[in-house]
Amino acid sequence: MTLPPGVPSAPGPSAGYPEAALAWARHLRGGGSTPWLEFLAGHRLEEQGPRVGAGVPGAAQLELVRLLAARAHALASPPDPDRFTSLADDVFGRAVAGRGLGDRPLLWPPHRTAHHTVAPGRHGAPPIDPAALPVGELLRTAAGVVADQLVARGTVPRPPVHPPRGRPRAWAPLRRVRRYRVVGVPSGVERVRAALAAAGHPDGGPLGGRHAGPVFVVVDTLDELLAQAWAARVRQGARTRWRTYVGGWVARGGLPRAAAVDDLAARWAQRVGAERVHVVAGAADAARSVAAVLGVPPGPGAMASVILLRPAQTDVVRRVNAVLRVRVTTDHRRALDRRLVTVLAAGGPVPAPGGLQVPHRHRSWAADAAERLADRLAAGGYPVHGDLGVLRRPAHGPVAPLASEVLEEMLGALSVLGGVAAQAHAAPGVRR
Amino acid sequence: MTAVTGPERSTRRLLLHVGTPKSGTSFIQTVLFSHREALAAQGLLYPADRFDEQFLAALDLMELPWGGLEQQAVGAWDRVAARVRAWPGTSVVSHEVLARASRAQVATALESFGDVEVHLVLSARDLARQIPAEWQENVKHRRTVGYREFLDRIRDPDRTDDVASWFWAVQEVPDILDRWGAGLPAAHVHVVTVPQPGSSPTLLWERFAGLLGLDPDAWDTRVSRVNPSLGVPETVFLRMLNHRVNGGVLAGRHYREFVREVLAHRTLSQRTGSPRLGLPPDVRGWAADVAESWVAAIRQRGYDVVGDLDELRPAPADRPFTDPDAADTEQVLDVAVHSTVTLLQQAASLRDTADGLRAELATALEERDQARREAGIWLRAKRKVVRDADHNAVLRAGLAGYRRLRGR
Repeated sequence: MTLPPGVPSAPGPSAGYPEAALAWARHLRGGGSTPWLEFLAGHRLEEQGPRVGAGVPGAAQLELVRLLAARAHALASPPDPDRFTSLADDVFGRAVAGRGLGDRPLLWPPHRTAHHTVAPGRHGAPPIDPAALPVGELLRTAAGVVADQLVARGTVPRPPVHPPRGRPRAWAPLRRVRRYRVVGVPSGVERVRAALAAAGHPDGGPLGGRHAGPVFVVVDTLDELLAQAWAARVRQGARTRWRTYVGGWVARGGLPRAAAVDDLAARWAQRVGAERVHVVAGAADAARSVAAVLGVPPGPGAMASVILLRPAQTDVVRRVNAVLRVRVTTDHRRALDRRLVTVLAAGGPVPAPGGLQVPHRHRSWAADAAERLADRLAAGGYPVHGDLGVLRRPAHGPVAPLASEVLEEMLGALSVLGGVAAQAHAAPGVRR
Repeated sequence: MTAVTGPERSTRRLLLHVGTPKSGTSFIQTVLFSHREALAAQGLLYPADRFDEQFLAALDLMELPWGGLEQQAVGAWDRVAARVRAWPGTSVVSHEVLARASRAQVATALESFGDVEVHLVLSARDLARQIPAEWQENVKHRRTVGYREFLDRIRDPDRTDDVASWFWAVQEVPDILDRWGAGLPAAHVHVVTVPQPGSSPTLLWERFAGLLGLDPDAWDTRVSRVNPSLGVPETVFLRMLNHRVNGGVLAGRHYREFVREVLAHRTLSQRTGSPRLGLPPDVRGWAADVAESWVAAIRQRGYDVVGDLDELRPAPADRPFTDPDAADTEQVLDVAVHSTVTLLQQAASLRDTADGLRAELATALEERDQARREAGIWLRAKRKVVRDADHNAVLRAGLAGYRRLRGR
């Protein structure tokens, strides 16, 4: 959206709604970050006249640009003004995606009145002070803009799913390379793969014959198993919220395939025999346990091949996917997701996946499910490394991705994709 | 009312019907879809190759998630718009969820039609019928909100709640006309009012047909599917059912087929003896006030009104209010038994179908195995001849002759 020409970036001495709203939009577009009511302070505002102005963006679009501007100011290197203006125009012109309230007009103080019910004669979405907008409204708007930016920038090629398997380095014949497979909770699996590969022992190799190695099933807290199963579903395009996802499995009375590690161990036992299936309890120490069984020293274990997202980042992907599902085909969406995930993961220091708890009202269900998993693994005849009691421990994170963190991640991704920031690092002091 | 199409008009026009839901839109869409080929022969395009094509186009335009259906909607709006632009005469695009479009989406939509002359059509029904119908629609879409709670939510001025924001986005007639009609001449905005109960059942079609420049009697409206309303105990039962099947118990596609189609539309809507849902007396007065302000706003703007704006004013209640939050247990139980019987019949029918398919599959597998066996005997015999030909001169000569004959 391009604002009408000739609009000043400050309201006149006596302004009506459209003039003042457009002046604020102009102020924000130029990189200003003054909140709406503060912007109006000191000006005489006309009580009469329309509260809708042609070309005035909605409150959510305006507030989103204000937050982007505040974020940009907090960065060490300020953004290119032209790029910021261009991003602001993209946001102003963006319809709020999905359900919920449509474009809301800005609160116009002279008109502020209280109503107990919808008042006859007042039509349209109710006005609001943009600083009081629910975070969900901002996220809906931002998700649409992020989707636009992804579509405009195109796809990135698919990376290899795993690091090269079973191919020892050139000097490997000089020492014994151990063959093994590792499956289970993705955070643990990736730690093991990275650490062992760094030490010259990439996973892979034959499942049968005299060179066949062990299979390690890495398990963790049930919360973590479920959180990563949810994250995987989101990466596949699901729109399901964390609470709904867990609630769904509670209602079905089972566990998602990705979290049913007892079934996973049993399937491998059928292929290679229970004695060769090692259950490793605890993702954090999984690499050390696996290395000990193999009799090799673990490497440093940089996690390079698969990007694991924090819950708030996963929620960003979920919200953006909700828009992309109706914009592009499934294959195209997956390719665009890769770019989004790369941007999100580049923003934080070391990925700290998981951290979600099963909601409190499902805690007893989770305890029962964890108990069953631990019992079945213990009864399966597998060598167990570590304490299976880890399955029963609750995670330390929140019971749902925190909206304020999701907004920060979304703003970070939008800043990078819009070309006004190099990385999606959280900017200090821009919390809402 | 002025017909916006007809033999005397030759420029390209579009009648864009954007709602409101529960105002006879499904009825109109079915008539248009069923007769689309005959209409095209008369110069009127209804661009849809499947019944829900324009619904998918609306989801695409507004990026609306809809239980997974949105994934079939990618590019649907552009396809519909392209057909409208390419059509030399008048086109009709109709879907009620378009009422929800924001100003930016409206701008995108209108721009997509290029230089085609756009006429906006909004059909509207009085709130005393729309509010109960919207609650029933919510229940048929898996919601569990009670009736009084629904009424409270839609009257909350904040409208931030999902139920309220959707209700007003698709039902607030002056606001919809603001969003869709702001850039159009008032004469190109047509408000079609839905007749009050007791009117001729064909009156709504006559109003639309008049707008389209069609002879209403020349088209068979019996083909039309209506979106029938439910009685109070039927709606209460569905709401109770939702509590039990939500949260992952019944997948969206199964809910659509078995609950909405089989139970709600085909079974429970046929139970016409149940008490009908209306507005409680305390809400009826408020609804009348809102309607009054709508009538005033529409009059003031000078739109083309097809019908009578008085029809937007709630008619006096003709029966006592039946509260669905305190429904008669016996009546709800009767609905539950009826539903169980229907679903058992459905299960039996599906079992019969599955058994039939299994029998067909078994026959096909048997035929395949027999064919393989026969082909195997013949193949083995040919291989033996080829093998033996290495040691047998007569066979070798015969094989060579055979190959010459076959050109190999």
